[in-house]
Amino acid sequence: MYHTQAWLVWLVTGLVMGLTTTNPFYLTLLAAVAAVNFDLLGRRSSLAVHWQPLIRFTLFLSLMPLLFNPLFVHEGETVLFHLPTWRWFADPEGRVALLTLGGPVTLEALTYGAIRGMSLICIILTFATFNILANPSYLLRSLPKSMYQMGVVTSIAVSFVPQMTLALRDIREAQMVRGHRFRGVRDLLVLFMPLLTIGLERAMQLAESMEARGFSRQDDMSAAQQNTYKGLVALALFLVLVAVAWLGLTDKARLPGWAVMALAAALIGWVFHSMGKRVQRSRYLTELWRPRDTRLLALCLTSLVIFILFSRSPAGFMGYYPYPRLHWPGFNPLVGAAIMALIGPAVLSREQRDKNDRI
Amino acid sequence: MIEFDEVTFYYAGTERPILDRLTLRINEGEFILVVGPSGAGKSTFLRCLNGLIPHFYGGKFGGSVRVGGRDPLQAEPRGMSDLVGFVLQTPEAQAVTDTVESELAFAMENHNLPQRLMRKRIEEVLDQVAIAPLRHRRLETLSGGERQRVAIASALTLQPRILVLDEPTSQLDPQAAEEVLTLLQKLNTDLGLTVILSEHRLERVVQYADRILYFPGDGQKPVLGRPDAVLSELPFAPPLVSLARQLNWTPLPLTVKAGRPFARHLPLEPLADQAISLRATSQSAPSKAILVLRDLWYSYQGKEALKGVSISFEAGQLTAIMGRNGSGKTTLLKNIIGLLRPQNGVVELHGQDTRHWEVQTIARTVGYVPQNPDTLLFADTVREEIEFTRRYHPSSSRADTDALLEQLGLMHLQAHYPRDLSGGERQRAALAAILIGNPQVLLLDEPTRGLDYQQKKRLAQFLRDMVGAGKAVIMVTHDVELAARCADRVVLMGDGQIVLDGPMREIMRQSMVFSSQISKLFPESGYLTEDEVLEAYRRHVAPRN
Repeated sequence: MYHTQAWLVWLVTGLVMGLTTTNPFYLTLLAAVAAVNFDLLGRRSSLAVHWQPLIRFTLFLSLMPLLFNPLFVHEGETVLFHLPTWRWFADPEGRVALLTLGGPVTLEALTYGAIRGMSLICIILTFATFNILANPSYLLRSLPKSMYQMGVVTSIAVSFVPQMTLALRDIREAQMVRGHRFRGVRDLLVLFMPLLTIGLERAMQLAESMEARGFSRQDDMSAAQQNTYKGLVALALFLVLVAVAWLGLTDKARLPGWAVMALAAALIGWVFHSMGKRVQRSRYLTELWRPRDTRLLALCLTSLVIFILFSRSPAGFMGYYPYPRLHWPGFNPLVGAAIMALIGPAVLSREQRDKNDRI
Repeated sequence: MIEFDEVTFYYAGTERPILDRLTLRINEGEFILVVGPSGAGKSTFLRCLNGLIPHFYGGKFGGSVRVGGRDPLQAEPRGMSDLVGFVLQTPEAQAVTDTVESELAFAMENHNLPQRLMRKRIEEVLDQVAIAPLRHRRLETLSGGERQRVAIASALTLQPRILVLDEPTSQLDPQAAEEVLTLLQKLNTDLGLTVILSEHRLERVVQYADRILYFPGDGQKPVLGRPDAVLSELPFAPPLVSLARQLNWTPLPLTVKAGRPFARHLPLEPLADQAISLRATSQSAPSKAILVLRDLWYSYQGKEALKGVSISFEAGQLTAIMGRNGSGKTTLLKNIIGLLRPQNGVVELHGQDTRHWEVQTIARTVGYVPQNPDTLLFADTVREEIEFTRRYHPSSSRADTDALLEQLGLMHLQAHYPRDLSGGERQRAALAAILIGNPQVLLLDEPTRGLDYQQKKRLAQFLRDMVGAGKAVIMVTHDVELAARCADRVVLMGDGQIVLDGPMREIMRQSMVFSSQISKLFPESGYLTEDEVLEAYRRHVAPRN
């Protein structure tokens, strides 16, 4: 459908927007854009049906902050009603308690819960839309060389899950037709013993097939080289800790903290680059960069730049805090347009369809 | 091309060598068929060719192997992978990626080939294996035959000079198996590829082989020779070869075409005049139906698998249900046993509607042996496996377990761990674990996968005995020879419906695909097995003597 790189930029743009703003107008707009994309693009992907249960579950989960925030947080001036109060671990005079449930339910707390729920919906819908059109093979091939072996192993592990689910169904059926009933934990032994054996046999066959096709570690590192890499990674992590501590403890003179952080990042980058060069493995890339990918990339980058520029300015109305009294959130039409631009995939993909893009 | 010199191999923890001082030579461009009973060393031999043995399996290795001038022990499997392509039994167990094209690229990526070269080779191999229309498909959407062809193609992308295949058709239906074997023959003749193939179903492949390598097992020396020479000595053989050997036809015909001149001049008693006990035909008196299906419908997520199937089954009758993969055969069995519930229609057992019965209740009357016996077996010994089922069938006694072990030839294996047994023994252990419930109806789903001729013959006899004892046996199978040997009736399914239903002899006489080797050899006569032909021949000859 879209080139993986362009499609990844769309995902990053959507996630940056969903994670940075708390403005309910922007979040609603973003959720609507993601839903339209999911619906229109999902009609062309057999994977959409697998995401639907997770989306339903997310909708259910998004109701949780709406329910629990007013129960536990009693800030806000617009009291809607009072609930009976339960206080745990309160002091003898009942002024302070470790946990208080119930009490005044405010419109502000309810709104804040709704905003949190909306953020969750935006993120999951964006992820789901990305996944229904993303090609795992291309994603795998987009990984840095040093992570490729790990990526292959992960993709195998993921593809193993449906195979084992089917095997579990067959075993369950086979034991039922013997008259076996599954009542307690002990009865599950007849399920897991064959599953374990079948799983191990399949894993052995797969490993054998991979070995016969030349898959194995090709970077014959000496123990000393391995230890050097491990030592450098440990050093980088230590530097990250130092930088975090410095930045956390000092309000002034923050530059040295950021410098140490940059040094740690550079060190990790060099280790990965150096390890990547040792992997003697090529990648089969056949993805075509089409004009529509350029258009999508331009659209996403423009939106992202606008969004980031406004996120640091009061005119962007990015943050919204409903306490102490609920007020109308601000709305900047330019930011709204930047969010609306993310509907691009659904619009651009209507231009032309490539039968080879079947997912 | 391939040289084995005094090769001996012991698996770790064993005291008997699986290969004992094996010495042989295989020339470039040969098509070698590797045969022998399970556990005789076929797979071990194949894995020595690319170093998987001993590198992947461990064990003790002696002697020397040279393949295309390389030593697999030194080169290791990775170093041999551009010389020896390797394809396993189960197509789904060897897929690493998710789409056809990326699967084809996997081996080349491991060899760090440049992008342009990979693209060129993928285009070539897509055409060689005739899978170009599948290139963008996801692997899970392919049929078994298509997946196996993709597995072969992915082994070919490194342009190996030798292609090694370990029973590549054992999980496939006859049509898919035929596609794969035809492809191998084409690769052998067109590209000069050396093909080394282990296979149980000799009748399909023996005509392509230049030589046969026979592993007899039990410590006997393997034999490598011309197909007719080796086949004349084998303890098992396809029906045609078996018949030819008993009638001393020379040269030994390996194909139906080669056998026809002999068959034409063979004097036989006409089938109708024979006194041999032919199995039930349409003329047999109908008995009361034990199981009746009326207007059965079933669909998987909107895809219809059964479309108004109506059929009845009688006691004392063996029905073979045949048809292509996906025609609804297994779905039909699962609806009978209650693992799937019909969305419309009725299943009646002894006149009672079972749609609301639990599976465990139906299982008191109906036994079901699934395709893969491994899904059943979990206990430490074969006896415990049977005793586990017996707990749910109180009417059976310990004496019944003994009788069943004896009847199925498992008594000497009763203390063995079921998963250490051969394919045929595991199949019998699974059968025993179901039969201890003494079901009146027995459902079998592909019972001959991985069985050799002797094991199939024994299974056929056992099923005939069950039918003789008044049971109704319903068997889903692709194995035409098994159906010819033991079925009374054949039901042919297609696209969720019953296409043909009738006495086995009539159906086989009418069908082009579903007919046995003997039926093709004597198309007008109605004979189905070599035993029937031999009996007819003896009856014809006997009065003159």
